[in-house]
Amino acid sequence: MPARLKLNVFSPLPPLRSDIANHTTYVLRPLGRMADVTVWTSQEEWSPLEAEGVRVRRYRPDAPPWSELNDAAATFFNIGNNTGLHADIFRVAGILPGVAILHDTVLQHFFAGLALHHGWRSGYLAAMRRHHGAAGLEQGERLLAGEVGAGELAARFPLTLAAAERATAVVCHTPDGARALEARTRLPVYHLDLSLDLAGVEEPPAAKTHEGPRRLVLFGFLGFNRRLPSLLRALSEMPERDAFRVDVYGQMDDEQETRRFIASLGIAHLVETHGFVPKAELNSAIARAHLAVNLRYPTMGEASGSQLRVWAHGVPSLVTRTGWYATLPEDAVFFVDPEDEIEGIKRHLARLLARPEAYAAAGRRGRGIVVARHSPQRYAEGLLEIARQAPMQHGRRVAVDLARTSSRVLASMVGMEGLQRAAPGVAQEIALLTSPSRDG
Amino acid sequence: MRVGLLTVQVPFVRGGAEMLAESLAREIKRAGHEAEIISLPYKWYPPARIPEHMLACRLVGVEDSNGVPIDRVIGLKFPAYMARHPNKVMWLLHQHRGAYDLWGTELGDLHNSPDGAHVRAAIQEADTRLIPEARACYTISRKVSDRLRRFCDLPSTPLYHPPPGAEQLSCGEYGDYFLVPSRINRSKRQDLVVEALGLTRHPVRAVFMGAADDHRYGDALKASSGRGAAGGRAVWAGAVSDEKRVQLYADCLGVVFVPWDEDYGYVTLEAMLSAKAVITCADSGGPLEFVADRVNGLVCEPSPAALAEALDLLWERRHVAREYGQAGRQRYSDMGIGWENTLSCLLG
Repeated sequence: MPARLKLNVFSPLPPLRSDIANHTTYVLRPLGRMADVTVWTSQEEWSPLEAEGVRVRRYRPDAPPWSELNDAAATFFNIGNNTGLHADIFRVAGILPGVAILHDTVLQHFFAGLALHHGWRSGYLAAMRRHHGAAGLEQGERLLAGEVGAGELAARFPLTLAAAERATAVVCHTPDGARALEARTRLPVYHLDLSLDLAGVEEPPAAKTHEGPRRLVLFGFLGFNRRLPSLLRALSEMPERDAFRVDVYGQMDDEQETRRFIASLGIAHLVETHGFVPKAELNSAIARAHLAVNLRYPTMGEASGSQLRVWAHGVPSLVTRTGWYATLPEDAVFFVDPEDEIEGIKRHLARLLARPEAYAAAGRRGRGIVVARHSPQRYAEGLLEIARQAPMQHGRRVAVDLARTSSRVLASMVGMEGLQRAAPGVAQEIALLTSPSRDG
Repeated sequence: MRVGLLTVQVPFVRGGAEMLAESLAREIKRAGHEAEIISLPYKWYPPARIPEHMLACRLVGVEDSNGVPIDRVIGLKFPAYMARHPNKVMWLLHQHRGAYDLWGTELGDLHNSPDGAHVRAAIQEADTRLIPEARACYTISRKVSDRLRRFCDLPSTPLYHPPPGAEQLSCGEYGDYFLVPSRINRSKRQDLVVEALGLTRHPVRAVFMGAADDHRYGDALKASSGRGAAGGRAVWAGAVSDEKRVQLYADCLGVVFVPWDEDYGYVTLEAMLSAKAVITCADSGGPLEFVADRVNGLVCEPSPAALAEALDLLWERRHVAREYGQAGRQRYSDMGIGWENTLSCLLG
């Protein structure tokens, strides 16, 4: 029987309001049954994890205990766009080689936040230049000068691989994201399906009543790309609008402004904002909804924990045909095209009234997908398999670094032409030096 | 036959490895061949430099020199032994111990670096892959062979060799001091000896012979040896001439050699050639391949108290010290340690 691996996991933890923190807690339970896991956090307090084989250690971002960290077979860094939650993790990941789990592949917001609020200005500019060339550097300087926002730069300058500068491997939650990254890095790229713990989620009823108003639900961090204004405008333009009720849970960018907007549309009696509520209350709200509105535009390249949660309750959902969402099965979600957003929403709301059973059936199929593909057990097994491949990942990283160093040295000595002649021989030796000596 | 000896040199540092390479070159020449030490500079810090040195060694062309083939290379030290050659034989002094047996110990440093595990994996993978390129793999001791088997699952054969200047060593008187030869270094644990001096029942004296390559450690030792019960009974001879070294060996009562997990250790063999008992520790590694407890020396637990007891025993029973010393000289002879067999294996 193979020895239990020791693993390090860097992640935000509850009670921080973070889907990534929640996801980590789902995964730690099965992971801790298969490996000895140390979860590292710079938070001052965290909720008890109650997972066997898992312990939580606090670290100082300016002086992590390297010796102890080096004791593990593999280290996983959870990176997302929230600068406040991930700045310390990124700081360690920039020094300690490990596996970067990218919860978002468009990370411009994260790095812009580091630059603007954490003093990482020169690092930001260097990363923009390294990953996006002269144009990236120019736009980075504009961002620091306050001439442009991260949202405007995100699609063209995603800075994805800036989160993997010292990584030995990258994990993505979307197949498209993984494929795109594979084309841009020599590091191993893995795709794991995001997971959801179904404990505490009741089995949805076989049939839901279609009496009374249809309940629409939105929840989570409702930033600009969650399209709440589009939903509200679409609803306000529908003659049947009084047949709906909208429940909004979570945090809005500007709640006062949103309230004013709702009032201006004359639908205040149809919309209720609840703010953050306990998990059980949110689960009940999702479970009783007839449709979840889970639009994203633009997408940050992320897979959606919210989508899994909606599916878990067997509730149908509206998603934008973009990024990971565009890859979802046609019979398990309902698509809205970004260029036809408001009309698309209106069409679906009208159909929900006319053919509620078709929508309910899609929700039930979504539940089946979560059960089959998105279990924490499966995700944890994926992490463990990635950890077992650590020797190969370290070898690849060393090879990449040696190739860069020797290219630089050779180019400075013999120029680009000479480099082209010398490179194959050097590359061959690097490959010999760094290839795994044994399988696995 | 033209033979290249692959080793690395840490500039301005000289120790057993350098002496071994020089001795080997001399003996190969004496056997009628040509020999050259091919030495590359080496720096192990920061750890990210280590893979670069590995690649540099790999890229060094040693198949021929000045248009004439080098018929055989002998790989001695990491990472020089990674150089490519179609007719390479390993005679491994030691691997990069920070990535192996010293990992996680206070004598290692790699594990304290953020990229320590990363570089460690690279070293282990490269060793495991490239050492078997050699047509034969020998090591300088069973200790080194054991580590190679334990960490890399690679077979090898230990090949003992005489210490440099073996023919000069002889037995003089059994005088009133113990000799403590070695570079002054934490891994040699001279601190254990200093502490033991403070615990002996008899006025045991010790002469520490060797230069300090860890000056802070050396200064602290000298300061502590001048205080307390050990005060005045430790003599710090520093680096000495060959002549003085031979004399100190010849006239001592016995030799104290208590390193932690030594690879080989010329000191043991030098003591045996000088017909001196060797006091060593149960975790000292290489010396244990030669010292049998209460036959040609004493093997004690690595504690000041146990060491003090051993020192007292030989100090008060000088005939035992003499008896053990003579047995050591005989054992060296019985083991057939010489260059003939070594060269036959390395050049065969």
